[in-house]
Amino acid sequence: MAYGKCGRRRLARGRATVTILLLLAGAAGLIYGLAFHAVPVLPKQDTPEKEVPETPPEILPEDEVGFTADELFETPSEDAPPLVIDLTDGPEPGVEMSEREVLHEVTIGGLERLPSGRLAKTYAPGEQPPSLCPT
Amino acid sequence: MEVMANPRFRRQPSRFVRLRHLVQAAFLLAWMGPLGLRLHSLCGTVFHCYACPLSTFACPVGVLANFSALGVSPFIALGTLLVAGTLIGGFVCGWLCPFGLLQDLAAKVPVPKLRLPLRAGYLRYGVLVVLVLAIPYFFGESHPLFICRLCPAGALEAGLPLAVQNAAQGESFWNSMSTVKWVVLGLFLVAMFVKYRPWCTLFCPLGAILGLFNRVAVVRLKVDDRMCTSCGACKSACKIGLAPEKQLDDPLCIRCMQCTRCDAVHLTTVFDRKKPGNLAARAGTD
Repeated sequence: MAYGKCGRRRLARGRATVTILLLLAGAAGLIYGLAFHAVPVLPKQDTPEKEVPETPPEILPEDEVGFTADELFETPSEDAPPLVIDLTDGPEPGVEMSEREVLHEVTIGGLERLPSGRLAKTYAPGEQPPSLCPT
Repeated sequence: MEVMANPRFRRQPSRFVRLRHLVQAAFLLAWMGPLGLRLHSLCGTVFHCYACPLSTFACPVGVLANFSALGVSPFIALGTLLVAGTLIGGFVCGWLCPFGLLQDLAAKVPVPKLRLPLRAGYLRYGVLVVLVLAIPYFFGESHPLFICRLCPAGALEAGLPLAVQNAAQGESFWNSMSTVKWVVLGLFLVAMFVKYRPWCTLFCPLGAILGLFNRVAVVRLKVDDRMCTSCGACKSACKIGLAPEKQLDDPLCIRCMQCTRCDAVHLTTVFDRKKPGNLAARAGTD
């Protein structure tokens, strides 16, 4: 395509502007990835995560549930033991892993995506990573 | 012949261009660190498998594919590719890539070379979209069409050393890699002798990304319209098969700079506003 003198100058200026914008975007992405971006990662899952059923479970009649709706919402008596949720015996909470760590783990096959979409490590702290060449 | 008749077309490329393989070899030391620096939390800019025992950086294609499989946005890889692409574009393929160097050396073997239509280069975008991004995202990294399972660089730089190591330890040589990978490796090893840079021109997803920056890269090539006589000499010099006078910013261009044997084609920067005539005169002094 033939451009006039003015058009060619405008084209060159536009090209330089795009170059600068792309450089800035790249630098910003790099800095964000290196310094700020983190993702939650669960520890190694010993049992495979259960698939979430797509359809809700059937509503059971009250006699099969074992309690009525009134019992569920009644105020507990003062003699009743306090309601405590035990967190010590459950699965370990996930940790925030920086993108640099994720990148390193990826190169040793150290991460997997669970069916729920969450990330989990494929090896426990004392174990060797699966492989340097996962393929 | 008309090509020979062009007085501006030199028989040999400039001294700088003749150093290209030396530069590629020097960068090999950066990608395959003899000191065993495994900086795998950083992304490289070239096609070099991170499972290679000597690799220094993580392969950007492997990172993109694996991050896609994990459903995580790869800011480091994208940022690295954006910066490298915007600075030098296809020069990464022609001057830095170790896999490119291997194919360049193989191409020196005097065997008749196959020429495919340039349109075949669009296959690279298919590889990028399907094998690097879509399949990992929808089916995970265990899918047989996951890019790392088909990658010849991985087979050559990581699989083959692993096979040799296994054989040395008394284990099976052939069971070190999948049959598909052995086949891919075999095909690639044959193809690199009968076609110039077969991986780069037909399949490389990294080259597909970096080639897009040729138009806007800081360091770029330029044709001086006033000096160009459309003699076709630059096209005959281009090993990819491009016509530099019209396709200088084509995504397939690896910036080998063979076309700069003609004084009408010269190196410049995107910020250079000087008149082409002056630049051409400068290039002619080389």
